[in-house]
Amino acid sequence: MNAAAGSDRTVVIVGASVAGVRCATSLRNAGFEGTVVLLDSDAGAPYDKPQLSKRIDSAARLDLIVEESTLRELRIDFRPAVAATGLDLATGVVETAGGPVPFDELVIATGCRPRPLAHPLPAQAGYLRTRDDWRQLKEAVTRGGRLVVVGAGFLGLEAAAAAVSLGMEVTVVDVAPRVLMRGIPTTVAERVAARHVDAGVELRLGAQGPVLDGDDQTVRVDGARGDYALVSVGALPNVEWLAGSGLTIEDGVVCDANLAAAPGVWAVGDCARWVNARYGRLERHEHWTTAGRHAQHVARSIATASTSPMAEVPYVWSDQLGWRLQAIGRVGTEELHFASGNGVHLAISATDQLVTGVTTINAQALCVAARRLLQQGDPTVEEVVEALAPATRDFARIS
Amino acid sequence: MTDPITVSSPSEVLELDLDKCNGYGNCVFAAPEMFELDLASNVPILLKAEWSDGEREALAAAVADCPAGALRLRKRDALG
Repeated sequence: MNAAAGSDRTVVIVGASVAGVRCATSLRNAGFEGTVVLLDSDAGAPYDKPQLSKRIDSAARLDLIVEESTLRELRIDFRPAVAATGLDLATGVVETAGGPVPFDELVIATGCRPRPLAHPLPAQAGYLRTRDDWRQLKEAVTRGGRLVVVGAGFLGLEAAAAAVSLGMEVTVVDVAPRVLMRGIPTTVAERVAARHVDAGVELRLGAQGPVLDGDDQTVRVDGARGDYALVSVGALPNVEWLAGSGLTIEDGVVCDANLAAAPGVWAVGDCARWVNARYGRLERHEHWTTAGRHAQHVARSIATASTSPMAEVPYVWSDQLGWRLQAIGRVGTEELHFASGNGVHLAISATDQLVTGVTTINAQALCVAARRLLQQGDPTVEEVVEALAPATRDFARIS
Repeated sequence: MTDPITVSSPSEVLELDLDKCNGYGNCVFAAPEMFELDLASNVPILLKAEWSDGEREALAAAVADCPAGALRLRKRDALG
């Protein structure tokens, strides 16, 4: 690394979830020698979010993304419980309750918060995004009874799976006609739903718009009665603090293909809406893997004083009831669903004979092979079937 | 508990904990020269027994990209 490693420069990162922490540590891995300040509105050490919906037994603890001692070793100035309240681009300052924080380069990694329902939640209900939310859910699981999950997306189904495995009764309510409406093809979603029903989860799909009421002990949702309700109906980017800053804010921080929102200002992770170079269009992902890769990309750009476009094929995984569900890319207008005798599933999604995505159940290496193909461009259905053939000899097409 | 699989550079040791690995595959994309996922077992294969300084950043990315925390890069100690 040369002087571009920036020993006299200050990078301020706002948000210490996976994107923010990864950016800080990656700056050091890429040879950046300047000052790194990492602000977070939460108190306490940075923890990883995917575990919030999976580890909810009474003994569960949260793994940290990074130990605070490691942050110190890497000379990262971590400041928890400091919320950013504004941005002054002209002077290069982040405004916080604790005073202004000047920067040469700013990385916005403020993530998302749960999409709220239109009404306040009753006492025995909560969202799931923070350590405090998780503690509340965990206490409810420890008390037992019936958990009502509002929203049959990844987060909701993971919590439902974990709770039913811990002996709770579980009802999942969603206005959608099926589970996993976003990102998972119908044939796979049907199998996941059947798996939940087999495990004892009650699914109430096509429900009325969810309205929760209740008292100190119980909660009611569309006719379902429970001891606690988890509301998981999507997420919204945390970008209100940037209002009036001059940055373009439209469902996230709008960035170019390099993840730059303005000169010296970058956005990474769930709050970044960037021109995804893989597809040439504005996208915002809410995926753990994208967040880490954004962070790595921007850290390298800052450390080397250079830019390059960020291309990313969406990748999500979900662990439910002993199944590993993985999805690369997006659903299309058609699906080809294959299965082997031992419970392995492969669904190829396509639009106009070009593959848009691949979804697997319990087939991790197959998913890697598909991911490799989709990173190159949009392969044809024949190309994908042929490339995956060595691993799918005993598979039969089932729909 | 299985002992982690380890490979080393002169100053660091990479540990792969197969008890933690869930086969998410992110390591294969972060450091393709180093990792592959075995088709039959869905378990990672280490493709190299060592790495160069130039490969270190990709390796650190693979460690950080692992959602399961199955990879660890630590300084080599007297016993390493």
